Amino acid sequence: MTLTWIVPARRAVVSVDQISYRDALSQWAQEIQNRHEALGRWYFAEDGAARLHDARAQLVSWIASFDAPMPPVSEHADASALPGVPLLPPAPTVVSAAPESTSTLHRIDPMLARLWKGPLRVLLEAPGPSEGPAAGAPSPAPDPTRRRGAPHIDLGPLMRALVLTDHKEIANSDATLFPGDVVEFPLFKLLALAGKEAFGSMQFDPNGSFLLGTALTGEGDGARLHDNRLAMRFQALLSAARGAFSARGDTWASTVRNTPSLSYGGVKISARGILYGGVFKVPVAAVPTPADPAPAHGHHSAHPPSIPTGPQGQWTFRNLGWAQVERTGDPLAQNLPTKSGLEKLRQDPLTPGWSCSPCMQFFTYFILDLLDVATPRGGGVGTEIANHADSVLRRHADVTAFTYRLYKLEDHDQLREHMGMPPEPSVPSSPPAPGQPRPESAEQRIRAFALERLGVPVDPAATNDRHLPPAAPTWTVPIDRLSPISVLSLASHERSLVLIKGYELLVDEGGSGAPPVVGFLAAYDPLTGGAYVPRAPAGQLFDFQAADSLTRNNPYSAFGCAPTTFAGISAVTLAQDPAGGFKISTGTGSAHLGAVTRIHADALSARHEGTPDYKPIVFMPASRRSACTVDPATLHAERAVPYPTLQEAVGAFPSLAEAEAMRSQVALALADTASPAFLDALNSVARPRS
Amino acid sequence: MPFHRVAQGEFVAKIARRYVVSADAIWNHPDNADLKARRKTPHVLKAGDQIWVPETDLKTVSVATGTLHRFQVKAATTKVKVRFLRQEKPRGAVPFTATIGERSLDGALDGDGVLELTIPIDTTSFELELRPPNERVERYDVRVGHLDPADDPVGIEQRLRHLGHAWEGAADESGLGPEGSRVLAGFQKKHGLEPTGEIDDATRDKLRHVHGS
Repeated sequence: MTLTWIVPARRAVVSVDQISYRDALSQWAQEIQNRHEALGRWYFAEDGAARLHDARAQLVSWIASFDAPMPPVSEHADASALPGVPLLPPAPTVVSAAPESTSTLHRIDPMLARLWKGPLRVLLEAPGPSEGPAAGAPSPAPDPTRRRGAPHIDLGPLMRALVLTDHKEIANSDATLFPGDVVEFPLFKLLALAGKEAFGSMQFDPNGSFLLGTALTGEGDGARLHDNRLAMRFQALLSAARGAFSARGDTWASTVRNTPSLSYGGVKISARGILYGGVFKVPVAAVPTPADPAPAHGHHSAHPPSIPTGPQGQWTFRNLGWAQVERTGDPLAQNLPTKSGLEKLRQDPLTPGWSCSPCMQFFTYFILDLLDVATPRGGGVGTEIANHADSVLRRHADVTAFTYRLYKLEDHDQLREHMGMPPEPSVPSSPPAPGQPRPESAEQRIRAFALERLGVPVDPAATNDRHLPPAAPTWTVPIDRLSPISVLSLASHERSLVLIKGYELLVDEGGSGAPPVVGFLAAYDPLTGGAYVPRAPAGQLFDFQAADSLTRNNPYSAFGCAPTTFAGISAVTLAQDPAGGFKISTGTGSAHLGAVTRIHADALSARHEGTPDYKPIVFMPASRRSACTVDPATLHAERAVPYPTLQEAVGAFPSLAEAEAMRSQVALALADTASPAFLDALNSVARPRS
Repeated sequence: MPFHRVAQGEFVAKIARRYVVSADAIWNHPDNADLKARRKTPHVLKAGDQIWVPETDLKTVSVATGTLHRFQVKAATTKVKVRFLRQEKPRGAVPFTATIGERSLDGALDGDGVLELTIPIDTTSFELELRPPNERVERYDVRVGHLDPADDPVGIEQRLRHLGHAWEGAADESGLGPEGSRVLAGFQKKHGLEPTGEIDDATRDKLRHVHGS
């Protein structure tokens, strides 16, 4: 199969090879057949099997009659070169020559699939170097290290015309889908055909995002399609932490390991993590208040920025424009990474390791409802741990935000001036003599200065320039109580150990065990669509690791800070040794740990048994603009189990408005308890250039 | 005259034209009583059917010598009627172009979405284009006389497909197959019949009625 189903019978990502649209539709029909029993149970009180079969038969008939192929773009194009076999070949219409009788030909409305363009398609459709930036796109800063323009890849006959409807449905049957394309099939139309009339008013929302649960309009009145919000959330998390891809294989390939890559036209496309997400901007005090406008470029305000304590600021989620119209008339689909968005990613150094940072840790746990700061649930170990962890993380978050601002300043001397530091001594260009310590770099000294000024303890054993977390409380926990997502601190480097339950478990409801109500993680590679961990044994832990965020000598780094690089995923084993420590093993080695640092008890398996504990994905306003084109009041979170939870869902989940209130409490708590030293330091730092 | 073995696409009027006999003479011939009972209509035969064709019905005309005589022969034609539905509703007056051989005919479906064409009786197929407004052109390859009887699994499948019920695989003489039976059960359920997936008289009658032939 060339499609990887991320939501059964509804949504899929194109996998390792391109596929014709007709074959994709055929695979959908096959998927419905495969999920027939479950779909019947989810959506039909009785007689679901026969009605669904009938609807599917109409679908198959429509696919067979889907209009004849259009002339290929290239005379060399050959539709038969694409893999796959259509479900049914087009059949002639047979009639009788009977004056008194009639033959009836019935067709259903087109069952067109909605497309979210994948990274490869976006790259292919991006204007080539000779075409220049699109009108209205921000001009990227000159980059002397850039060796060539944006990739312009000619796939020749494979690049067929793509005709989209107003709802961003693919209208032409001879379209080709590329790896990484996400397609959603009109399951709602199929259900309407099967007699579920409430689904008949649904349509694809051309501005919707499947990550936000806004793919459709017209949901309601008891008609709601099954979805996979937990997986979305995980996707968003990983995307936020590690999501990016690059077509600049010459730049990134050396730091990417265990990551699938494809090569077209000589340009290597390296997927780094999971796409369709965003990046975290500044977690603390990121947005100037209205009374504190940003200074003109190159000048600094006489008054330092204040720390906003209102609903804006604090934790922000910036999406690089992937969920909003970036410019009028943008030919690229919305909810997509755009060229300018990618430029932003490249230009704008992220913090030193969003994934390897307490901020990420904090936000991960916040989204996963592992922190009780805003919603205390009574006493107990969990709350105690959470509160303690929060106080630890908060300090670190402050440092991260501070260092981020440092990195944003590109002029050493200017920075030093603002920091009140003495002029930069000349750095010898020759290597140090044997036996002599290597002099600290400018950024090392700046960071040391900042850390000292903030009063944050530094691990004296550190051998690199990563800012290291202070000693964190540790708990020794039984291995079998590890959460599906456990962020561990190992040798001052955070690693997310993720227990991935196979996709099959979700639909194997009558099989080997109860379906997972939580922890279902449909992690897939954005470019290949393949599962990261196909056929993983139950209980297998995987190490999602990002690294090299502070890699030096990276041509795109600023002050030593490189954009987050996704290092890879590896299966790990964690064994508890008799002495109470742990041994963590990967395919390349193992290490003994005295303890495993965990922030919280296993919440995902216990506290999420009931649906009300879910929190929505929280998209915070950045720069006083909605981060996504969605009515936040209607954004709800659902559990991953695809039905039958419609009745349970009514009123069970907090709305985004409610979550906003909770978030504000968190923000206020952070602001109220931030150390005076931090506030002073923050106010003394020039704000980043706009 | 021997038995004629019916080929795909043949029907009684077409056979009668070939052998220069009347269609009624064939259809009502006592030797075809069994076939008539099975097929019920002279317009829908099945390839392989054996049909008795009586001797050519010669007509004797007396004419005087030295005089010019005119004989007028009617062109043998037949009618084809196809009703087009979308979401179970008539398509309406959609413009069409029918290409029969080298001749093109433009028109529009009637208000009930019905196409009615008078075509030469020896027409085996024609191309039809529907041009619904604001939509893509629909093309149909229409095979005249190729509809199999409704008591045959293949004929059942053809009608189900026309009505928008199709499945992977194909029916044969032995039946619809497991998937086809499931599809038939869906049709039965939709039309208030017991969803057995089996071809029975009630299902055949309903299918003929819904399909129109």
